[in-house]
Amino acid sequence: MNDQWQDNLRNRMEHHEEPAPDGLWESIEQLVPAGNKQRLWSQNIIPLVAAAAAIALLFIVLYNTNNEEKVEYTQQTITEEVQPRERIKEAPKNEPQVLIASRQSSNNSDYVVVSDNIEDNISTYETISETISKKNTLLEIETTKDFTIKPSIVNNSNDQLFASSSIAQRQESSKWQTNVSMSNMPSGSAQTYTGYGTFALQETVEEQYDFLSKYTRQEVYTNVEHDQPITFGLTLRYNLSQKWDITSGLTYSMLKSQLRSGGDNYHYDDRQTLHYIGVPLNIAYNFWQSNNLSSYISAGTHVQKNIAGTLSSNYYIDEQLELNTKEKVLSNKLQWSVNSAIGVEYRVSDFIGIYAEPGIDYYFKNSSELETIYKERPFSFNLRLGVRLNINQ
Amino acid sequence: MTKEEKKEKELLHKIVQGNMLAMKEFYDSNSGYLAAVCSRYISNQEDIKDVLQESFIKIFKAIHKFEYKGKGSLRAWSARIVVNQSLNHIKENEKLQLTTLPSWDLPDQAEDIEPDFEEIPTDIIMDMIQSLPPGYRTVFNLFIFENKTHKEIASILKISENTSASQFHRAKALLVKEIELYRLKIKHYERSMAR
Repeated sequence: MNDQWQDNLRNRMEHHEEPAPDGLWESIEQLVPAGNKQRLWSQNIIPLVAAAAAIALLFIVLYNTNNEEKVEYTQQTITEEVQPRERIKEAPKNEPQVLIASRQSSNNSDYVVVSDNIEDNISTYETISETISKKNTLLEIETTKDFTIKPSIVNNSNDQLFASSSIAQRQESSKWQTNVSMSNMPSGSAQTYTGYGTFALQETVEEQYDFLSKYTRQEVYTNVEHDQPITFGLTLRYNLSQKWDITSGLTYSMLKSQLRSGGDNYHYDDRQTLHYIGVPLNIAYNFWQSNNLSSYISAGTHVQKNIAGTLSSNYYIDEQLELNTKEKVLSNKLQWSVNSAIGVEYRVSDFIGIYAEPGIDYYFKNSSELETIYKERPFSFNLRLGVRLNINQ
Repeated sequence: MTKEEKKEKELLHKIVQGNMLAMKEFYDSNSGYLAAVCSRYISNQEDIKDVLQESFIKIFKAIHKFEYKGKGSLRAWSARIVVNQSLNHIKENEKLQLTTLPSWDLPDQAEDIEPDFEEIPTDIIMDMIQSLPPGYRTVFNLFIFENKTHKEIASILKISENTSASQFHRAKALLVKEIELYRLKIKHYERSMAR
């Protein structure tokens, strides 16, 4: 085998240059650590500086108000997504609190805003901004004292340090954030990224690449959507006691996903349907029961195996269907998950019940090549429906 | 030490001190090359800008740790940062679409025919590389331009060695096709001009 072409290519490209993107230097210039800025070498110094400044200021505040009560200060981690200033709200008039320091984060920077004179109407704020390159330990602190803001009287919110007559404390951030965001997207998962995308594993890849390369080199993007999976089950229940039981059986799940990849005038649509058979093992606790209905919470594991799958791709040019390809997809890997659900069961007879179990699943990574909602959103909502046979009544 | 090396070392020293003009000088002489390195991995213009921006910031912040080893060493070191940033970006934002194909499934000719880039302008070569699917492109670049073995690529991208090799062969086969297409186009064009 002759590798000469590799050397040739390397040499040819060694001196190739591309125009640097417009405005690149300008944005670098703003973020770069320049000479008169102070450098710190550890990320840990930021919270220390913030804490020290806050505590020092607290003493000043307390001294000024001639109050000797104890100060409580607890440190919390910062939620990065929250935009600066969003949190500040007007306080109810009967309970004035004065903002002493607040830590605010946006995508790239972290601020500690400290007010150092609460008696004046206008006070100087000191901002410490750090530019973070996430995996970098080198930080930069820039200190400016040249702008003034009115002191804000604020209500309880995240990551702020208050003086409320005498006690200052940092408010805890909400513990329910994850759950709220979960409930905001109950219907599967959707994602967009630039570049090509495909569900295909085998021959379709070539087809799709040829299709795209024929038409353009312009920017392409890909939309992927995974439908919410629903699991049907035929399960057996074994009562351990009045309240506790174990269930197991067989489940069937169908996973549907759509993908659109391409530019504006041409694109292809992938439709992937996957069929899974699974065996669940759950333990349930009945917390409410009437004649025919019972409610329970359950937790357990579920192992699933992909038994069949199809991928159908349609190719469009100017919205005209040009071509259709089909391929079979299959993964040999087992898909394990753990779940927790709340269930309602309706007894049709003494032995047979039908159930519905909305719940939360966590799907473990398996090394399968298939793009599924399990892979895309391992922690997700699931709805199980089915028929259950009760044994040992 | 040559005069050039002395100059480069002086520039380096100024950058470490935080001299903005020196940084601009470094930027002016290297941004074109580094943009080309980045564009091999990433095709979207906005993403290229983001990655280059992160890379330059990283370069300026870490430059005090750089050990000067003669002419070209600073550029090579900077390029490595750009490659790492690009890889991080790909891992976070793009699907690699790595296909695991059994080796017998490869087109036979891929083993024999090598892409011949002779007479093809470098910006067209760049277009061809950019138009490869991300998985093919990443493996191809690491193998050719970073001189990585398939074993090293496998550990960087967390794929198997076989996958890396098959991605590379497929990338090569696609490039052969691209080159054929390009030559045909040129012929076509020349003929139509002659008419």
